Amino acid sequence: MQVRFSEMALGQYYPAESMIHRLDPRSKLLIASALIVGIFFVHRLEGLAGFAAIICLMAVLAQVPLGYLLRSLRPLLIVIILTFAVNALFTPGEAVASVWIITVTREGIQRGLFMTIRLVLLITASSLLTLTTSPMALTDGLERTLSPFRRVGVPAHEFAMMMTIALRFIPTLLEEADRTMKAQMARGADFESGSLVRRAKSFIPLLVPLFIGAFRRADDLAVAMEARCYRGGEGRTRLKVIRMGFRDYLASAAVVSLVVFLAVVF
Amino acid sequence: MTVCTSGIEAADPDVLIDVHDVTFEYPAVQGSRVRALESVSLRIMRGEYLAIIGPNGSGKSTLAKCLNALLIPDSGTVTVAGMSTSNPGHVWAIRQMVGMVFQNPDNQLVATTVEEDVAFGPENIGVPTQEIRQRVKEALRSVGLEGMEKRAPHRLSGGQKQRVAIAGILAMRPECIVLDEPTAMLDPVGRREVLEAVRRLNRVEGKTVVHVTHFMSEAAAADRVAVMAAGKVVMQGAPSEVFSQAERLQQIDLDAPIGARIAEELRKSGISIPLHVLTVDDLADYISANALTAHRPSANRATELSTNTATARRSDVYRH
Amino acid sequence: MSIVIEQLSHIYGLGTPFAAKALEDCSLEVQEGEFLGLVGHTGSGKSTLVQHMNGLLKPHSGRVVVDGQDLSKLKALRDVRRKVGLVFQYPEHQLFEETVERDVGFGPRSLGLTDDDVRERVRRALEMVGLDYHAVASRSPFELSGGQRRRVAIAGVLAMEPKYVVLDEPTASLDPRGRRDMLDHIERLHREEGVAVVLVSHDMNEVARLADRVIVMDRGRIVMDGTPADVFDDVDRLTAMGLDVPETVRLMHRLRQSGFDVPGGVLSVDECASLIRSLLAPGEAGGDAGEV
Repeated sequence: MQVRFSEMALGQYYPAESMIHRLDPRSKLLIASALIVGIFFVHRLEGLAGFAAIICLMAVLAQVPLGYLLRSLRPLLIVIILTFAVNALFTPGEAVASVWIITVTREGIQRGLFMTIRLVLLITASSLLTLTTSPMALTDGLERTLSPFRRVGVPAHEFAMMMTIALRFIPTLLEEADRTMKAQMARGADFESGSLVRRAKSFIPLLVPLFIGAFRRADDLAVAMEARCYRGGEGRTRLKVIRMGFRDYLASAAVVSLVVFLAVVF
Repeated sequence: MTVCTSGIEAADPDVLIDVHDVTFEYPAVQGSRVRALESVSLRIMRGEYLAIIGPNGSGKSTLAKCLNALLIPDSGTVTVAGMSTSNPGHVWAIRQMVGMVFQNPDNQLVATTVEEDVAFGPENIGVPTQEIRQRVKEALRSVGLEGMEKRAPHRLSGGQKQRVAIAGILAMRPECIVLDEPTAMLDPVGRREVLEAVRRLNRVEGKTVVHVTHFMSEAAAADRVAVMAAGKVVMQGAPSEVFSQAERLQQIDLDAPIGARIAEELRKSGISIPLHVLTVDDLADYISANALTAHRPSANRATELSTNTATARRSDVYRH
Repeated sequence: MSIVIEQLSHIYGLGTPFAAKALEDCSLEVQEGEFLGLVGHTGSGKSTLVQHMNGLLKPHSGRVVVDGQDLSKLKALRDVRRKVGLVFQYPEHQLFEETVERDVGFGPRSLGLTDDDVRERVRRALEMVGLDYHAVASRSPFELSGGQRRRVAIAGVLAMEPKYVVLDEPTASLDPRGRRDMLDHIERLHREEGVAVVLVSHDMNEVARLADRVIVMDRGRIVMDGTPADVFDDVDRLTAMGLDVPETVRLMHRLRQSGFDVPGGVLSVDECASLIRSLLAPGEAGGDAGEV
């Protein structure tokens, strides 16, 4: 029972029973997309403030701890800081401070702030989506959204099946990677020292067995699926059928109209 | 002459699967063709618990896969409830009737939660949503996994994973379950769990079970045993009949269960032990019933002896 | 010279919300040339324990000393990994090279040996697992049968010429013949090369047959340490821990429970048979042979 890679939370889903969690994944996809597009359309700080309010409200309704939301910014912290810095330093305008050849302008600060806040809002809007919707639910939502396009050749079911199987096997493969790494280390493999090239080559004893193992699994799994009468998406029913309810339409309509209002006005 | 029909023929209703003169070759890999099955004939009766044993390469897994049309024989026929596996039109009906559980517990589970995996089979055959839910519940109860619906597969033990796989087959309401070395990759606890579940399916729910295994003790629990070697069925019969032929078994690199082996040693020195004595439990029961009175102790002595031997060793062996 | 483990504790996922005690206060010594059986239910810590022996895992308290060297004081663990070979379960899953020769030679090459030395090591290692160098060396490992692949993988560890070899369930999912052959090779390895063997196994019959000493683990602790005869005699305790005992031992135990006076420590089929003979028949010299 190795508790290393495989315990990493996948896609940062935070389980809870909030009203946001219970919304159909399609409405959440729609809401997130609307927010993201809308955020790009506003040019004034007031507009961003409006979006910030919407996102805060949703975070509260979703019962997601603030810490989780902020943590999602961490991987992109450098980008956020750089965005502010680049804008503050290189926007022409009225100088506010100046060190050597580096000048900070007032317009620069305003612009930097705007860009940074916009970036933060984009990240938190997407995080809210992944925090309240499990990868499986997202897959279902995407499948249902793409289903009508099957007639024009979009392989919605196959895509969903691939995603499901991938999600199912990621923790298993991570565990196997761990084991393989240890087994190779036990016979002298060194993944840590040497030049970049050397270190890249040292991954061969890890990657080759993993790939071969993955293909073997795929083979076995295909046979097992056939034995259970799997023959593609035609005629399949589902255990869980996601349904858009009254709340979904209400929430989507509310958010979309707010977004349009903010985008147009600001 | 083998008669091939594409219709459903009237046959003995007690025979669920009729394997008739089947030959199967694996396609050439690096030159040589491997003949996995050679003129194999076998009948699987409704409701029976059949064990198929044999060393690696004997063809037992190949035979198992012929039973549900995963493999089609090169010659000969496999007929399931009157339907021939060589007829593509019957394949899906056959696979719903004859389910199969494989050796690797991980490589059978396809969904991210237990309930969704068990639902996979019924979903494939178009069972209505409400009924799927019901079937999943029943199937999990049959294998002793109620309450585990939302668990992720990678968090289950080997024995639990195999039981989920079995539940996934049960949810399709098959007549027969074929298990291809289901306990080979499990630890003793997992092995016990799976064997219990399988036994229950046969004894309580009346499913026909075909259990391919290389564990002799597992085969001893079956109604009938078929022994395979080099692509042929070389012996068939009740476990007592099969396991009493120690020399023949040794020739094909198989052993009888330990109880049977001790019984055989005793028979060699002139003590007659009945053939049904196969496991050590059987042997212990027999000895208790038949020991010479001189050696039969009283009940008090029984407990005294049990505790004494254990205590004597205790000081040498214990740490905590 | 030996591997000494002193009061070892190890915690999984230290620092995460999933932290769990994997090993608690384990002490053990593996003598040169010994054959040790390591048993315990899944999750009892066997794998974790043996991974400390070659430095793959580091203790959170306690220490590991291999041939007089405390592992925590070593900068490079390469030498320890050479001396203490570790074969994981299903070792055939770690094969990756284009030929058997290159795969088995991976370990020796990592030690910096000359090509000639590597080839010699490969040849010897393959021989130790019963494979003919000339028949398999230039073939791809993936062309071979499952049993052969496992032996190639084991040869890959043996080619490092370790002094101590840990084998984690080497007979997992092998058929009876495969199991017999594997155990024969392990026994020969132990006998002819003088290698100390630590056999981690769930199969009590094989441990009873081969081990000089048996260590039993339960929930992260070492709870029993003694000869197979001594350890397996406490059937009740082992069963309470969810472990099997060798079939012969179980038979004797049941007889004892029914009140028969049979000694403990009976491990082989022959011993069982002769003991039972005396219960069912009065003796060699005539009388009424056969059951009552």
